[in-house]
Amino acid sequence: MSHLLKNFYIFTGKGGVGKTTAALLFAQYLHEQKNDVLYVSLSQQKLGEASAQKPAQNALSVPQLFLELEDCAQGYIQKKLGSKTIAQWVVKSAYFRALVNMLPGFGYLISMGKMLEIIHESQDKKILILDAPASGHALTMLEATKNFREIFQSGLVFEDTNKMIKKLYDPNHTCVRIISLPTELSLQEAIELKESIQTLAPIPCKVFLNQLLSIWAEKIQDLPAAILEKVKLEESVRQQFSGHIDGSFPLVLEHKLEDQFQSLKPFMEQLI
Amino acid sequence: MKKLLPKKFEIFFGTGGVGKTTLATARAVDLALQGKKVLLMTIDPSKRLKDILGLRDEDSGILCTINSLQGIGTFPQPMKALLMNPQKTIARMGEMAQVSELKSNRIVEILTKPYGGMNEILALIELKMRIDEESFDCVILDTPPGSHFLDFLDAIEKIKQFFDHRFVEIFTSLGKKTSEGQSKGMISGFMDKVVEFGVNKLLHYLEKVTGDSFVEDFLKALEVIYRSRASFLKGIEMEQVLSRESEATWFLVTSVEQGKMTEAQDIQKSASQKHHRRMNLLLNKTLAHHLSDWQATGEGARLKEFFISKESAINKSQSFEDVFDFPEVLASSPLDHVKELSIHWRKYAN
Repeated sequence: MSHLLKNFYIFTGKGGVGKTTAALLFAQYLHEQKNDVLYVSLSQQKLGEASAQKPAQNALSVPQLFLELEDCAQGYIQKKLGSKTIAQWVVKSAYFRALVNMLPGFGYLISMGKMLEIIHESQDKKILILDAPASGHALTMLEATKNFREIFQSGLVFEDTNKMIKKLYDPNHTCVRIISLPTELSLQEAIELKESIQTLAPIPCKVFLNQLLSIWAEKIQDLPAAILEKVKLEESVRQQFSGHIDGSFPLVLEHKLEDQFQSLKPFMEQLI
Repeated sequence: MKKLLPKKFEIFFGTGGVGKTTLATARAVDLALQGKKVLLMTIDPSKRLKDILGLRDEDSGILCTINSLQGIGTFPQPMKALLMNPQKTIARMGEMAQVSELKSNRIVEILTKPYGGMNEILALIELKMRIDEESFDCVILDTPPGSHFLDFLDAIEKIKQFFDHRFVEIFTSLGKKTSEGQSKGMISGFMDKVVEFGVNKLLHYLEKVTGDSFVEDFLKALEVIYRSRASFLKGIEMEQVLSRESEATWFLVTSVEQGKMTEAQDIQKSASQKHHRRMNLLLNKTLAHHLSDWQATGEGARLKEFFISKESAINKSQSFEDVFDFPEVLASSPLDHVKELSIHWRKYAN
């Protein structure tokens, strides 16, 4: 494992910016370089609902894990109370569901704990690539540990939360990758998110532009005015915010992930 | 061309980054230019959009009056705009119910954070309070961005689930006899109900894991929310109004660039099954008509196909009440976006 690599990569960005693709392809890239990698995506963090967001089947060889909140919660309670029956009952009860569904971050706290545990159990050998929720929620997710430490003040969760914070806010352990479209609005929001995260904790955070059109402008001579205009806007955004952009990826036209991987492979190094 | 029938309430919802707030603002601007008295309620717009509307963060929770927009025009009747602030809504609710602990409870405080679990219901309550105070011809509600499109529709479900359906019944029937609402007896009666429903057993287990101060805070939160139930009932009342087809139009907003077409269709399906609600789709940032004249070859043809195939799928879909296209605005200033999109709204209204 390269000394530059971290244990926990959190990918985030607004819906539809290509965050899942970037996270999956980065995981595949590290996997091909013989790292012990696990790609993780989360359920909707709501209990009692079928999760509609299971990632699509793909032909990538990197190990992929879909974390269900209910399983994480039950596993945790079971561990703490030492009874599967009670844990099952608690998780299924209407009040517990309501509690988790109402309190933002409680579900994240539980699943975050599970992920950090996976890393810990591998003696910090494993690299986890998390496909995190859309941007505002990613902040809720990172804040969750802090908020709940304040709330709990004592008890088993409190102690575990303290342990989590140590790892989660350790700049050598965790980092955030924010994916943005090359538009002013999208990028501005990415930068605002980065600032909010860094106010919270010294987590290394990088912003990447995705789906750049400019490479197509070089290749195709007769682009119509509308696309040329888009390219122009893209260029001006890149100039205006140059100090805030840590890297970029071209727009690829392939439909299948494994084909996209071949096109984007040369760009993956920058995510490390 | 499709025609849009005017209704009193228009609700915009969808995930972040699709241009939902800009489209809602453009709609409000167009209606205000037509002489309607408009209320625009929004949450978390981008900084530059706030600048256009002259909304400052420190004004959040306060109704602002907009007489004109530079470069767009003067409104015959001033438009009112409100930057929603869940914390201020909760504070107002606490004042109305004379429950000062409502805003200071730590659990409630977390619930009302941005992306908190109560933002949707608080938006409905805020809306109800505003329209009770002042009458409007049109209300444009830009809902908080959900992790999922359905978060907003689920808001009422969530609050009901929070109190359990049996609770809501009690909640509702007690709500009718509001005057005695804050008597001590009722609160202890409430705690009896908590115990009666087997919650204490659950809390006992929770206490083992989370520590007792959390459980104490949680019960306290339940209690203060319960004591402020008149306001929560207003939210439920509001939701009923919005679910009447004669009163409200629902717009699900998505954008071509987000490539979320299948998701949009799933939402429609789920919304009509679960909530028996048909909705319109606003398809933002369409490019196809810009590209139709392009005689692309080679790599160009691949690129053209890439853009066009994205939006053709949704236009063929029959599941929505109607689909309204909004072409991508090729400008960087948000004012230009609002201006151009409001012109498009006008086309659909005529």
